[in-house]
Amino acid sequence: MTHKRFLVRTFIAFTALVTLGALLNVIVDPYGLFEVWRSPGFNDVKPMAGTRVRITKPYQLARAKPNTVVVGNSRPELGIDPTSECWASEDQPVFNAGVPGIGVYYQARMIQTAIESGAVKRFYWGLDFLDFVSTGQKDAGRWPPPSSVIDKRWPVTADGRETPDYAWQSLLDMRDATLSLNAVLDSVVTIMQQSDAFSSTRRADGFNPARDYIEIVNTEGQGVLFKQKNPEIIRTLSRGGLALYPPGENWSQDFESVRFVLQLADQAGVETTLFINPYHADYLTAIEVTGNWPLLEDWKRRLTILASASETATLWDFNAFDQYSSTPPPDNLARGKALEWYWEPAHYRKELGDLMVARMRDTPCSGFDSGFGSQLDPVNIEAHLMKLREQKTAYLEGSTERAAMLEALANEVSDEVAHP
Amino acid sequence: MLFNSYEFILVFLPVSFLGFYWLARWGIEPALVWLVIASLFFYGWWNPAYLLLIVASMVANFVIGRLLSRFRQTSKPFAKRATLVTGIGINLGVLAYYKYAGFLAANINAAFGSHLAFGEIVLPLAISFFTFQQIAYLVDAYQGITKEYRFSHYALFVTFFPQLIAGPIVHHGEMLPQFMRAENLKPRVANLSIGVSIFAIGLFKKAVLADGVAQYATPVFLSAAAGQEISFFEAWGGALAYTCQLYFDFSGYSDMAIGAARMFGIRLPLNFHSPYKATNITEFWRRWHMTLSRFLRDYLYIPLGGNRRGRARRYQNLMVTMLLGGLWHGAGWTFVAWGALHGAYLVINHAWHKVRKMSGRWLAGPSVVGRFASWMLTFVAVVVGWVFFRASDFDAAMHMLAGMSGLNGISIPNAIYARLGPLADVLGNLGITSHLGQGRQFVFTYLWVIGLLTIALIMPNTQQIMRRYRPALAGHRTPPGAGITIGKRLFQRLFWRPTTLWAVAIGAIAALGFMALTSVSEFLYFQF
Repeated sequence: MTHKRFLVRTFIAFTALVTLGALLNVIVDPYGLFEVWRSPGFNDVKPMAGTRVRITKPYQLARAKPNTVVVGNSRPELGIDPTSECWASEDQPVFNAGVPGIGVYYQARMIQTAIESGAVKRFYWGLDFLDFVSTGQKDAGRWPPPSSVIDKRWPVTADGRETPDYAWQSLLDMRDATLSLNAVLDSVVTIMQQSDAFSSTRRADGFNPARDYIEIVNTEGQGVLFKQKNPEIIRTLSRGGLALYPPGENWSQDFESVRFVLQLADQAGVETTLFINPYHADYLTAIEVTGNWPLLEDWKRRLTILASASETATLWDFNAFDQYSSTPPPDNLARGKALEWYWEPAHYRKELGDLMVARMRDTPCSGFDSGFGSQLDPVNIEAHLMKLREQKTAYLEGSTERAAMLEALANEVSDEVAHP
Repeated sequence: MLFNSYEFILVFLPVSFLGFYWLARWGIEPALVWLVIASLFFYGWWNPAYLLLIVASMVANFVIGRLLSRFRQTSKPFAKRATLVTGIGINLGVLAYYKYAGFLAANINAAFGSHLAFGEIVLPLAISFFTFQQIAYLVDAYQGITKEYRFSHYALFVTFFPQLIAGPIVHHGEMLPQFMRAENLKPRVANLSIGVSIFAIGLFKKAVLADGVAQYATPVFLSAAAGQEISFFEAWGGALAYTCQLYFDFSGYSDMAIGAARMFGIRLPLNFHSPYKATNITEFWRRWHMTLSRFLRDYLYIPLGGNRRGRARRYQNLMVTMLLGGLWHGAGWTFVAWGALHGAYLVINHAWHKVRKMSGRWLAGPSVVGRFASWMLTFVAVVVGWVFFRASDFDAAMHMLAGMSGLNGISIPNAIYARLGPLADVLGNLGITSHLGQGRQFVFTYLWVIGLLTIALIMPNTQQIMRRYRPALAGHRTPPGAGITIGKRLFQRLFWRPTTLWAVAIGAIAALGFMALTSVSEFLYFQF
């Protein structure tokens, strides 16, 4: 064969393979970016979607045009199911825009985009204590904050203008999901794991059904999840100088983000529900033994004031020592057994999420508990905090062994911090 | 500009290629000037400000080279020597300022409590490479080896884009005659098909293999830098992953350089020849970054006296050469330690060969077991060296080595432990414990490492695959017993030819490499 012919055939092989790879990626859509076609047994389960949620969720939200949006970090993403029977019919379609590990600003931008699109009628924002505390490095509050790379993925800027680089960034993101070897490998994994009942996935409505947790529960036991997560939580809470505001300030970027969103929602007439995510008793005990309980209370007070300044917002608190959070995890070696309401100390299950939705929407779905959660306002906040303190005392007195274990862990971490 | 980028592959390379051959119709000069301009554009893409530095460096060295030639003709030995010393001094001074000033200030400040500062100095890309190339040129001009070149030719020798950023460190004697060759002014489709094939293999090595395994090395070294205790398997996984990453990164870069040059009809010197197959450290250095080894040998080791002044002096020269070679790679004590380690390895290796020679038959015969042991020892020594090479500081390197020695215990992820059934008890009795998390990381680290080491140790390298078409300037001859040959028979019929099968294979790996460009990373050797 001549070299010329060789080059032509090489080029044909190259082009054909790149085209095939791109087609495979678009059809299988391992990250749920295109949603051209979902078919059970072929690409309905998306095991690799979790790795790109930060990139894909803004596009999915724009495409979904939901009536109701759930926003927050991984807690609502795992806990609030858009298909729950506890939603009212007018809420549908519901989209879960929760994204693991994202901060309050990103969450606020998600809501801003939903509101600016004009489709959304109400949103539910799961707020998380740790998202608001820092070791004093955060910027004091102002809006808009300095622009970052993620801002390019929103069609509007933080101050409401059209994002100049949005089209280009979208093109780059589409390219990375089509002309990409990682995407080809992820497409292959997607096809291969369709029959795996415990494979991680994200549904088209944004919900994470936590199937990978089930596998860990079955093979290693739920106790392992608690054993792994508790030290992480305590380590985070033991960082020196945790505060809600930068030094010398009384306001932060995170609170400013909430204020901005509430104001925007008021102007747009969008119904707003803020809710404080529930934690398992281990998490709450960790807050107590690391000395952060007063900070948690201050945070709730500040949120209450913020919500009360809004015309449409309500604020719910599900973060308490109650019958749902207080069940201890199964023994380390007990495989296959799991708590009904929690995956691990930081993440509640869909079953608890359903009860929260029922309570916030006041829909009489199964298991409705009128005593679960409290709606906060400036009048009842102090009484509410007092009640939580009493519940905490009662729990710690009744669960001395578990509390002692977490306290010992906190002392260990504190020693590590003092003598690295 | 990176070889592994869309702008290089889709725009820069085709435009430079077409421009070169279009201008070549008007003669050699316009074509060569075009290549110089293209190469400067390629360099300036990263930081246009440093274009001035490389141009000034070329002008200064060209003028000094001319002066040296003139002094030689007029027999002025003192002036000639003074000019050479000045020339080398200027080159080393610039290199020292940009590369070592911060390091020097930090050490002086640490030793004397002073506050010496040079501000923030950004290391210009490729400065170590073009400085060494030009020092070699000056030394050769002093010795009368160089010819009277035009500035445009000299500039192309320094800046020719395939070798500008990270080598091979080329010699004027091997490059300039090629640039002048009239037959290179006409595009030859054979050169294009060979060049494209070599480039595609390099792109695949870099973008798919090196970048693929990098994700398993980086977190472990970051943990070590953060002072965390690293267990046995984690530490070895990280060190081996980096060993593979560096190999495929540098080997891939070298292939891409050789392939890109070949498209223009230019053969670059071989820079890489399956170094992990070496069964002794001397052979390793004959195969790893071969043009740097050649430079250090010709312009440092031999001028120091080489092996001509007795064994003790030879060992001393080896140590000095390797220490400076280590420092060339970066301004940091870990690089000095890496150089010192390899210097010590070389001294031990030479001493061992002396013992073997003296022992007569007893230690002379290379048995299969002996060769395997030699390879294993060499490989482990190299991996230990890479720990210093990669670690951010000494403490991080020590944390890694402590883990690799088993001082932090041996454990495997609980997700694997829980699935082992009765074997878990056996491991427990052996003192192997479990830890939470990182199960997927653990499995994929070792899958990647096993896969990549199999390729590095068994498969033929690019030069061997392309051997029928003389891909590089000179091949590598392995002394008997100095390299493992596990896959030699298996792959002896694997060589490139312009056939349909090879067209599909090259098209496929080019497609994989191209599709891996969505996560672009720099070549590791760019930092040197």
